[in-house]
Amino acid sequence: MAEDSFERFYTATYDRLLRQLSLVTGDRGDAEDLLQEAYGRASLRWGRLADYEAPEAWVRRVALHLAADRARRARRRAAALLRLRPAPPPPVELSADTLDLADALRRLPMGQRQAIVLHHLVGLTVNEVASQLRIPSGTVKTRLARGRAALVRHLEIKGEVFSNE
Amino acid sequence: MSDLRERLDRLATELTQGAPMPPPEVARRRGRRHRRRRVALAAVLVVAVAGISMGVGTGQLGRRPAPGVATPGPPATVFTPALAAPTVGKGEFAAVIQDPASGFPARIRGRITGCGPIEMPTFALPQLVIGEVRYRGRWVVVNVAPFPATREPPVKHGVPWVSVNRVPLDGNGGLDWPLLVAEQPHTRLVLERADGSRGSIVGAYRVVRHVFKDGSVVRDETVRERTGAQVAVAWDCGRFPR
Repeated sequence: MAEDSFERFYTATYDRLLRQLSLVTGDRGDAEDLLQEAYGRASLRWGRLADYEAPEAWVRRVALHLAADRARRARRRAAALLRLRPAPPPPVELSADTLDLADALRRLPMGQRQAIVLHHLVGLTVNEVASQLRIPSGTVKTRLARGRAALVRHLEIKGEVFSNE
Repeated sequence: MSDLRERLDRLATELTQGAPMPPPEVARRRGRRHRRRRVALAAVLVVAVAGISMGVGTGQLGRRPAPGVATPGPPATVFTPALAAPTVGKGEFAAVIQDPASGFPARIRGRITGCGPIEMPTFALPQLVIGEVRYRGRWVVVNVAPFPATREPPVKHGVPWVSVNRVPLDGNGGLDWPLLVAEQPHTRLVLERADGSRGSIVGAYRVVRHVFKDGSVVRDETVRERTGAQVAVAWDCGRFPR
């Protein structure tokens, strides 16, 4: 019974979470891996999680946490490795239109990327993003503002396009 | 903002286009693996805590073979007797450092966190074994390059080489921290698998510091010459390449 319920939850949410995680990591393979780990942990607690109002948010939070953790490890590894510039992302076939945005997103620090994706793609409010990432609302606002400014700088798009609201 | 949302949406669609959904069983298996790891870790902690609280470990620790303190001497390309390489299990690396300088630990042991080709914008090492462990609030990272680079990094160590880096947790990445390097002709490499996924390297080390220009490492300067003290590193990637 619980297994059926987990399978239904998994099938219903997988694609959506994969899209969100892909934007945060910039790489589908990484996103799939993180998501499997997060779903795996969810499956262990499914008896309890199934009663949650939004188990999807729980899985997303775990995956985002894992993504941040992995990014930190990658930075340390790259730094210790002679350490010139971060490794280039693996080639992904993107249209010209989205290529710049993918590149701009990759340049953002993980915290800003997470805030941008949760707020602008998932559609969470600032307070919801704060709760999801377990950080103060003010920090979310700062990350959103800096993230948008960096995107604008990189994309050379007029400021009002990403104006807050 | 709506433009940003649309563009993010399009990007997400392109990034995930055609991605197959793995069956839920895969996630469950992964969950079970996660639980097994945690149980094993908890068991190790319980045993360690019990051992310490009963005072059993004290005598044992004292009897462990010490890596020994090398007597400083002239630089040597021959190191006799060679330091014995530590033993490792699958997925593990271990290092022993004689006469550790600049705050390096005498022994390091941990899980391998990366094993395979490393591609950087300016250089490419065909194979590298990396392990990192937390040590006194820092990370100690061990790198091994058994084969020549396909594109040389600006800092050319003689291959095979091994380096041990300390990375502080204050965010600067440890780029300006001394690192320990053993390289040809001061190393002896033993590959137990031809592809390099299991082996050991032993050699006399020196301590160097990176010299930067325009934010990039251009060369190393030696801050401590070789004294004859050796570093021995063994690794077993298990599955390879990873």
